[in-house]
Amino acid sequence: MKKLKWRKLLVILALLGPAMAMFIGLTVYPFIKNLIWSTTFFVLYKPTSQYVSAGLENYKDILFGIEFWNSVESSLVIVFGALAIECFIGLGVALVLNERFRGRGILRTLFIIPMGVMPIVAGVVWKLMLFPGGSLISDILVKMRLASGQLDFWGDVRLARLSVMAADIWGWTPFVGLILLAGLQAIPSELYDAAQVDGASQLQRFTHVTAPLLKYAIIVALMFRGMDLLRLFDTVYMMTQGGPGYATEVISFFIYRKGFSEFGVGYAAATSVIVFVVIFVIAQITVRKSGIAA
Amino acid sequence: MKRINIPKTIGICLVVLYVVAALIPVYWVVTTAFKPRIEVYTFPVKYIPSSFTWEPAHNSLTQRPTMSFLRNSLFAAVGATILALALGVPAAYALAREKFPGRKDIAFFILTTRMFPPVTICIPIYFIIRNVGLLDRLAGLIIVYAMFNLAIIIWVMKGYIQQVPVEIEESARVDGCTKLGAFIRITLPLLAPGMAAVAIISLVLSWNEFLYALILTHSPAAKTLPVGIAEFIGGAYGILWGEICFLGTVAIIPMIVLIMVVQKYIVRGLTMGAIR
Repeated sequence: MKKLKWRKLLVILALLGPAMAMFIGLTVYPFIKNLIWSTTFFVLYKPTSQYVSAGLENYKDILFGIEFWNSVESSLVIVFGALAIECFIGLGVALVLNERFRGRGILRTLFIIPMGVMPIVAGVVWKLMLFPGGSLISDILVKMRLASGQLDFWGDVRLARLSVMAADIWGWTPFVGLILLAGLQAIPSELYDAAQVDGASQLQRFTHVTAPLLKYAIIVALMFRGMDLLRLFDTVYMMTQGGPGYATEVISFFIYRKGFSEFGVGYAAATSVIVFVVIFVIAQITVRKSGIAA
Repeated sequence: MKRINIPKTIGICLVVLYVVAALIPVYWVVTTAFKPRIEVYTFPVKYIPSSFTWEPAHNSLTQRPTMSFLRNSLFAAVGATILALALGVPAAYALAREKFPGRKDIAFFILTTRMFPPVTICIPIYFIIRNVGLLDRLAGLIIVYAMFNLAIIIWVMKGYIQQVPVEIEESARVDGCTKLGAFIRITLPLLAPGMAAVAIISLVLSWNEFLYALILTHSPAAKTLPVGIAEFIGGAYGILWGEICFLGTVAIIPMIVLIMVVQKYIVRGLTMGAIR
């Protein structure tokens, strides 16, 4: 009897072990390294500096300095701006694609094309389309009478943030749309029939049947898109390098600049720990409350 | 006489408009790759190029190690996907089928590894890869990419395995199959479509990855396509838009095709099975 249990344990270990080793070696261990380095004045080009203790000095610098909070602000503006627009357009498209009409399949296929575009290339083409002097987007806006002349997408703080948002919205609205479409298709049509029999209007059917049943899909979309937006790096790297000034320096780019351009490993590690803890807490709450990890 | 549903028609028109607008950037990459240099930005803007040229394509193929970027990207993406499947499918099987204490906690731990921004651990990973001598090697990239895709593969495959009734495997074992034999002969074929789809998603994500390629590779022998593309910006000759867009076209067309192939599975993959 005991022997059998040992065998089972061995089997589980053999199946799970290699994957767990990978996770421990490349996420848990790096996290612990970050924790240790965050209390030192480690600079990249001076290996011995990793033993120079800083206590909580890095954390103090981060939390009482302006750079970290600036990147938090940029991130929050871009995350919430992009999320709101992606959900709005995504819901609209999902509601339409949920109807039956000729050419729906083709439309759906064309709709998801931006998801396949490498973020670096998306950054390149948006940079090109917004390039000061003869930009395509300005030209289109002028033709639609929404702008009076060439816009300065790289000099204006709000326009630069909008540009970064635009690239993300363009690339990932399809993802939100597909999640919500899947959510819509999971709603049994009997519910709509029943509502119609009870005399509910089209709007009432949406607010009383669709919206409550779509809640789970919306939470999933917000959570996954929110996490993706926090890792936003490639498009910022290509389009603005965090500029103008530091207006589009999102949190990922901030950590990268501190660690790899300014070699402040201790500081970058401490920032990473803060970001990690905050995201972990948020994720823990959303996952537990929404029942995603069931 | 069929009644025309007005809100529906307006909705369809709006979606068609949106989709057409969303295809403009793709059109712009592809045409910029083949238009004469002087037409890349002009005022007023030229929407349709006046002539076709191979010059940017020729330049990027002859003056840059583009072919090795392509080869490296391909090896990194395929290698990482194979490694992640080899480690992930057994782990998914254990989490889906075996009952043991802490199973849910392990699954949740795996989910959390996908949540934080990769940049938060990039410096420690840089040192780890350097210390094992894999800096500037494709093997280093393959290991890191496999880790990043492992969580997706485990969660999605766990869901698929749970959908296959245990009874089928059990009846095969009654007929004399071993546990492994039952899995390989009975369950695995049923998992094949889902596995192929998740493999393609992992392939696309690895192919598109930029940050780790940027910090872990330095020479053309290991650099991947995204890094090669990023290098074109900020060179001595200004930004070579035509060349960048040619490489961009080469980089995105195969991935767009793959995304279309797996469109039915993509939500399930990217939400790690939260939406089916």
